[in-house]
Amino acid sequence: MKDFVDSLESLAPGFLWMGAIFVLAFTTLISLTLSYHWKEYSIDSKTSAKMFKGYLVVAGILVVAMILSLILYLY
Amino acid sequence: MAGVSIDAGEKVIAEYRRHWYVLVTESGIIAFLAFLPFIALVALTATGYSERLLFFVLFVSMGWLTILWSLFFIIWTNYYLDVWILTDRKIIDIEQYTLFSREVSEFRLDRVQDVTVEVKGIVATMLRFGTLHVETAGAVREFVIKNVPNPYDVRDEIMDWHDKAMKTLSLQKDG
Repeated sequence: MKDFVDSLESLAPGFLWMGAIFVLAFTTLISLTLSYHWKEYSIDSKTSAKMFKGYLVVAGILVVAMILSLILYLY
Repeated sequence: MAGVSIDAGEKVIAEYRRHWYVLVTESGIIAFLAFLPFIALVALTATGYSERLLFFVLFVSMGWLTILWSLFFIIWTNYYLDVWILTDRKIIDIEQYTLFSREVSEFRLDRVQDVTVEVKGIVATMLRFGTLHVETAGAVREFVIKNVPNPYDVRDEIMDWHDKAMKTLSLQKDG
């Protein structure tokens, strides 16, 4: 367990930031794709707008929490 | 909405989606994977590692949950956009296979010949969902709506509107 923890501690900050950027890019790509689908194919535009807002709010909270955790870990 | 035409004066009667059980089974693995960060956090707290390491685990957990949340929403979107629309004139069948694969077909209610309900298994019987097969005159293929809630009610509703469509058609022929 100690070796595993030590290996985590040795991860370079650049590598961790790359991970965060990957998650951010993935979420942005999915958001754009889903936004297109909800606008283009949804029957009820009000419901779809609510759904998409819900997705964005939760994803936004998670991304902010991820970046804050990284900052608190590194600095 | 792209690919779907509802004429002026045409009334949408109902929308049928698959039973929520389908959504639960499709997203079950995601729910399981979402628990992993919490297990890691509990294990870390129990072993008494540093606060700094806790932030590292939080960082990984939040990234993990963000990806899972996006995957869940893709499943939800596929579920929500896969729908049958019953209007007073026709049925529109939208098959959403994946985000970039969909098929839209429609048939007039007066073309409906036979509607068959198929309920298979204990879960489907207990939760009241099943598959509806609709045969139409002249069509080679059969229209199928899988895992629809309350399939007997849906069949009755389709047949009611089919009868109304037939009456309207015969009135138009007579008049």
